[in-house]
Parts: sequence; C-alpha cells; structure tokens
Amino acid sequence: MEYTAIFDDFLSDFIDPKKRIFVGYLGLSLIIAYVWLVAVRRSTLKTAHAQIFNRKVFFSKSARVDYKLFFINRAFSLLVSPLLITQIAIATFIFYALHRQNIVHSGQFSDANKTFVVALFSLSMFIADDFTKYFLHRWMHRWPMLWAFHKVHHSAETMTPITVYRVHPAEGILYGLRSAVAQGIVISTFIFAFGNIVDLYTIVGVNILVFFFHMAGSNLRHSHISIGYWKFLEHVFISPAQHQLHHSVADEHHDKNFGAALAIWDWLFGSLHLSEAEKDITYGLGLTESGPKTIVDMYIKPFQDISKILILNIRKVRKLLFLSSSEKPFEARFGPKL
Amino acid sequence: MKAHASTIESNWEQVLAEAVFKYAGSAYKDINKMQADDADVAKAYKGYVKHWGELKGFSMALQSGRNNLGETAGTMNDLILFGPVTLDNSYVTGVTPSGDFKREKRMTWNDYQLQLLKVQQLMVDKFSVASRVNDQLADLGALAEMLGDQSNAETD
Repeated sequence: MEYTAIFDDFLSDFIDPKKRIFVGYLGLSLIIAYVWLVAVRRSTLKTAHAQIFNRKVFFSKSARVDYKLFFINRAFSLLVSPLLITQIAIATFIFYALHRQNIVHSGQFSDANKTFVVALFSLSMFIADDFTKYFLHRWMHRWPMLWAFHKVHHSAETMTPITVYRVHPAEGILYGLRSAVAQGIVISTFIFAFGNIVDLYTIVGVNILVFFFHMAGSNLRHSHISIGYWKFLEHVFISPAQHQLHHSVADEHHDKNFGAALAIWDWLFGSLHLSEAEKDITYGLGLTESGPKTIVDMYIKPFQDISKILILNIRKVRKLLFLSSSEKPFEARFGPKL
Repeated sequence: MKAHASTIESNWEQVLAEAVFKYAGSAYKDINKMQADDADVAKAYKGYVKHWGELKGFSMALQSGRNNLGETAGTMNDLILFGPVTLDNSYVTGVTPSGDFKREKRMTWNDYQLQLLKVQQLMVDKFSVASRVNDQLADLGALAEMLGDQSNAETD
C-alpha cells in the first residue's frame, strides 16, 4: 500500500458520513455551539469564538494523547477488523435458524405496506443499536474487568470530538461485535418476515435517524460546550451536557447517563441524571482511581488491572474454601466416614 | 470446434452450478408465493414443480461431468430430495419393492426452504458460483452493506 493510500485510510472517518467525526457533522456541531453561546448564553461572537476554540482544551496534554490514540487505534482497527465476525455472518446464521420454527414462514408479511416496513426497519435498527450500546456501556462501568478497559476513555481530562477514539482496542472490538450482533438480528428477522421489501431510509447513505442524531450535535458530547435540553427532553434524548456529566469525577455523577442517543434506557433502568446548568465539571477518573499515565500505559495497564482483579478473586475463593473446610467438621464436608 | 469443446469443458461445472443456484432460489420463492394469503395455490404450485424439475435436472447434469463430485453430490441430492415436497408436505424417500414411491415422511415448507438455501450455499462453497441469480441471501448482504461494517462501533 502506498503512503498516500495509508494516509487516506487513516483520515477516511472524516469523509465518511457513517462516522461521527465526518466533517459535515463537525461543521454542524460548530454552528450549534456558536448559536448556543451567542443566542442562549448571550456571549459575544468573539467570546464564543474564544470559548469554542479554547487552546487549553484542544492542545491540552489529554487532547494530545487523544490525537495520538486516534492514529494508533486506526492502525489497530485496520489490522483487526477483517478478523472479526461480521453482521452478515450473524444475520445468515439467524436467517437459517428462523427456518427451523413453524410459527411464521419466510416472507409471511411481504405484502405489508412498503413505506411502513422501511420506516419500521429504520427505527428498529436505530433502537436496537442504541439499546445494545446502553447495556454494553453500563456493563463497561459495572464489571471490574470491563471497567479496566473503559477507564482509558474516562481518563480524558479535557474532551474534544476526537475523545470518542480514546478507547482501548479491546473495547473497540467489543463495540464492533455488539454492532454486528444488533445488526445481524434485526436484518435477518426483517428479511425473514417481510422479504425483499425491507429497506432503510437514508440520507447520504446513513440511517436517517442516525443522521439526525449526528446533525443534532453528537460531537458536542465530547466537548467543553455544555448544552442542556429541556428537562422533559432529557428524559428522551441524552444532551451533550448529560454526557459530559457522565465523564465527571463527582461522586453524584458516577454511573449515570450511559445512553448514546436515547435517554429512555437510563430513565427506565434508574441511571438517568439531568444536566445541571452552570455547574463546572471536572473530567477524568478522580483521585481514587489510578488511570493510565502514558500512551503505553493506555494499552498495557488494563491488562495489569485485570490480572490484579483475577489474583484477588482467586485469593478470595481460596480463602473461602480454606475457611469453610477448616471450620466445618469432616462429615459436613465429605459426608459420613465409611 | 476443439476450442469450443475446450471452453465448454472448462466451464461445464460452473455453468451448471450457476443454474442449480438459480433454480434453488426460484423454488424458494415459489414456496413463498404458495403460502401468500391471496395465493392462487394451484398456479403457484405448478410454477414451483416446474422450477424444482429444472433444479433437479441441472443438479443431475452437474453430476454427469467428467469429475466425480463425491460427497458434494451426496449432500446436494440429500438437500434437493428425489422429488419436490408436495402440498401435503410429503416427499419421495424411495421406491417400494412393488415399484411405488415411498412417501411416508413429511417436511415443513420452512425446513425445505432451509435446504434450498443450503443448496445455494453449497454451490458457492464448492463451485465458487459468480452469477448468483435468485440469491436468497442477497437482501441480507445488501442491507448489511448499506449499514456498513461496524459503522456503529463508536463507543461513548
């Protein structure tokens, strides 16, 4: 591969409307930020400009790490992606499996209204994707071994749109598999039930709902521009301010707002926290968590943390077994003596 | 003439495998037509039997080339069956000593459609079928491509 081709591949996410950091979405986020600061916060254009392009944010040590990780993780992704199971493999497997039941037959609803089916498929795809993101994200926080990987993302002390790439490759793989499973299930189920009338409503080749999510300033989630919605709306959609609060070191913000686009999952499962206007938020892991300090640490430390967790757990199990065996009489442990 | 013969020889299996692939897909679609709410079952069944006949014919021709297809032939015959699954879901499993067809087994349409899908997959796996007319997995592939590989793999 020529150098230019490699370079193009590295920067392809900026010109791919399926990716969050597509230049079009970045530009729109910028416009939203200006409008918010000038029209809502009553800043002057000059102040808004200075606030948006804050050098302390974009050239901070944390942001510079993000930029390096972006390139390193892209290289890793190019190597690993071809090895991962694809949504088409999962879809085919489920499509075959659906033929083994006899409640619904293939193409049973193929005479349904096409407009309705396409809208339903587009919506189902969006919801399945968002729902699985919510749960995986929740598990990344709740399960110590997954948190070891996810801590890399939360170690960001300033946030820019590139912070979305500040992840351990293992987390990237998990999210990729999640995406393949969600897509595989929805695609196969719809094709089996509705046949070839299934299609996706798209704008610039992207699911129309995903497109609107990005248009609405998805890049501002990882930024220092704190935009909150009306309270009722923050029960339905996660605002940038709500996601920024998710990155806060404050105890009251821990394990809140796992949602990607929809807040309803957080609302339903008790992890919703509405945005707090004018509240200064400190991002990062706080003093109680030891995060990765260097680029190498970002890749190695999660494994060191996991091995510590495993050793601790093995010791606990051994201790439990040892205690239970020493405290109980022989008969209780092994049954009556023969 | 020899050149033509050589061309035919080298493409023999490929052309027949593509025909098997195509008619397995046709039979799959015909079964859907038969099961539609407003189906003219008699007409749809006629089309299904016709396409099944073509499927069986091409699959037999595929086995009559210079190469012994071995296990592939056995698998293909098991999947296509000796005769089509009929409207009462029975199918021919053999011949009695008196020369009648044995039809004591039944198979659901869903199960037979799955076998037809496997016939298509077998043709792809064993003969690298390039022309995939009536590909019943094409819609899955098209939608997957539209959504993009791991397009939503971004984390938060």
